[in-house]
Amino acid sequence: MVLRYVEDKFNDQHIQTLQATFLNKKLNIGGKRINLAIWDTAGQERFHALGPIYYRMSNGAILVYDITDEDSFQKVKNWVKELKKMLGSEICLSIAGNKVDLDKERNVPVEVAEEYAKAVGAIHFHTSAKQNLGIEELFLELTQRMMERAQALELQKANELTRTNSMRRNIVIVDEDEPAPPTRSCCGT
Amino acid sequence: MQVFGKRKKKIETQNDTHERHNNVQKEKHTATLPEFTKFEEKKRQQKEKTKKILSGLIFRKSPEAAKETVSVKSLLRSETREVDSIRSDNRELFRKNGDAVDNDIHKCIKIFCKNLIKEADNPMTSIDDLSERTQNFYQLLNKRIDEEPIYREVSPEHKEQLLDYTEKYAITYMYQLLFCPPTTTDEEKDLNIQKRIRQLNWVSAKHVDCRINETSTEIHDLVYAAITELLGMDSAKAPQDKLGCVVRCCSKILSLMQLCVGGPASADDFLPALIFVVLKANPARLKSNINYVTRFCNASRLMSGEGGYYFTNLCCAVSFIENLTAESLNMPEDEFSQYMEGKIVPSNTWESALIMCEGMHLMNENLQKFSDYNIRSDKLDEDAEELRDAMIAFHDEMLQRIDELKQNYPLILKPFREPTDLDADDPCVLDLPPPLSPQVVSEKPKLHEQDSPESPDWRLTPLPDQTLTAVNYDFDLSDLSGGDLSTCEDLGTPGYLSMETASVQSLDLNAYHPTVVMKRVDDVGVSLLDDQPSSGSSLPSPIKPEPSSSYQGFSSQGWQIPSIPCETGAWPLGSDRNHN
Repeated sequence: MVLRYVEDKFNDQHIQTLQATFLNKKLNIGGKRINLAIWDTAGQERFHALGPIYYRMSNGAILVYDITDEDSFQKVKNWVKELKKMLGSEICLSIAGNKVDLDKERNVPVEVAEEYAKAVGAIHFHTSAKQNLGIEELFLELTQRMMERAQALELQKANELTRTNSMRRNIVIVDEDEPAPPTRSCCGT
Repeated sequence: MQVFGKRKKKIETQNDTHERHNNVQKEKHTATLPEFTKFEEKKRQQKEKTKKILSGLIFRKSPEAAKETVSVKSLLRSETREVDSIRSDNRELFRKNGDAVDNDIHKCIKIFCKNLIKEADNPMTSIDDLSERTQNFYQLLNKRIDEEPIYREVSPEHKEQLLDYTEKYAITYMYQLLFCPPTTTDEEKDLNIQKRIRQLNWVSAKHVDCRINETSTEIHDLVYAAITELLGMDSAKAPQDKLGCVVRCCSKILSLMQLCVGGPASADDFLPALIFVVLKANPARLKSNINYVTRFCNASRLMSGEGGYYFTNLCCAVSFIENLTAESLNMPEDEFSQYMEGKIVPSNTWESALIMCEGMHLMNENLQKFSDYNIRSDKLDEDAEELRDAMIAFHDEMLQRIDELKQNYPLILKPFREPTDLDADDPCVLDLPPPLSPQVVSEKPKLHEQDSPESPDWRLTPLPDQTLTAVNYDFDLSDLSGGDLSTCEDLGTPGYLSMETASVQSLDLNAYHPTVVMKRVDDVGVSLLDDQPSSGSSLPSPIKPEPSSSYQGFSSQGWQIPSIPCETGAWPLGSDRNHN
């Protein structure tokens, strides 16, 4: 399912690619040239400990769960906790309930998910990789938020006169879909 | 269902087969390792020692400190060739952007290197400080290229290339200083991870949940190619070249995963495969390489792009291997520890059978090859034999034919014809002055006319035997007379002398012949000496010092003389004819 998700999503609107682990997308938002780097991370439980290596220096994360799988939603919760702990509240989070085309088999109630997202300061999306629903919005919104955050940070850091003021900011996108693969993305303005 | 399950198992076991194959290679590798390990440790100790000495010197601020800087420089000199090749590779880039850019970039590199080397000399500087300085330099240079007027004309693409070049040039130049420096424990970590990977040689693709399906040779080749690329990382020097190796390795893995999975591979497939490849490759100085890239590769490159992603994954793989437990392989603790201690090897009968199958297959292939070679070598032997026989036959035939020829055309030696011919062939002979002076012939002019030297027949006919001996004798005498003319005068043989001088004056042996012949006609078989006084009596006064002095020229003509004695025995027939 992860494959289909990534494949469908990117084959439609992104670069034609043979692999879905790493993608670069050039966006132009508000006159600013943005290079969005989306990194997929291995989601298996055994690789969970490697997470920090992936999301280090990231600006945002998309956490994807499967609406038919209650367990995957629990994993999203774990990821949120970890990311918040490791990266502080500066990280932009989005939570995506994937496979809305299978609404009949839904196991994660919409209200629960949206409430949780609100509580942790994330924005919830309903997506379907299969039908290409809500994905463009998901990425666009996250990118915009990351940019706002980035600009704010830049001002702040410029005042502090640290050498990192011209560094790139990254976005982590964690995908907590069926086998729970977090997707991570870096974004540079 | 049953069939499917069985098939799946087959695939898995084949994976193991492959693994075993690799393990065998690894064990071979391991065999040579203890000494290597010792060597590495020794090297490190030595390095530490030198560093201590070095630091001691610097602390004391003794004049020797300057000497140490020189040694650092000699250390760096080893990279000059590489640096030069980097420079020549990028000549085009600088040619396009003009000398100002070239000078500025190299000036920056020079200053940076100088500062960093100075910094590195200070034992208080940690490698992280150097790394930070380097990263600062990248940023400053980036800013400079963006803002300085001399870079205004440079296209963004070229700006990127300039930054890349700078990084490559500067870091390669200081490679010896920055890679695995003795101040760090990198080397120790390298050895640890190497040992760890060696202990984990039993881990199969199945264990790490990697869906590598090793049934096809194409996949085998891709696995080997990925391993080769990863191993190549150690030999690259510039950080981006090392990164390039990682990228190539990872793209090989991705394409092989694509084959195994049958669609675009996700990170879920990719990471296990990468772990598998790292385990099988066991790259040299893995940690040092990773740290070197992390420290000295432009941070912006490491945080974005392909290189960054793959490198991050490599770090993840290494971290996973370092922290690998029974749990992460989904196996019971005791089984894991047994594997680690080498008490059990991962093969059941079915797997061994598969290994045997592969071995048999390989053996068959080799046997086939051998029998082919055998046939070919037999053929070669046969051909060689044939050739030898042919050569012997040819040799015999040649000998036989030579014998036949010897019998049919017996060898008759007729070597003495040539000398006379030599004179005849000489066109100069025709230009010679007339041979005889009238004074000599005054007594018997008719005879002389008869045997005129002008007639070619006469000249060609070889001289008769007796006459020639006489001539020879005559010459001997003349030689003597030439040596000491006064003796000749004392002998009172004016005729002889005059004749000699006359012929000498003509300076030609041919001119001499007529006189000889004349005498022969006069008295055949009589010594010339006896003959001469009579003929000489009618000659004009012979005693002339000048001609006799010029007579020395005759001895210079001596080379023509031996040709005449040669004829002595040669023409018995000819002499007979002459007599007749």
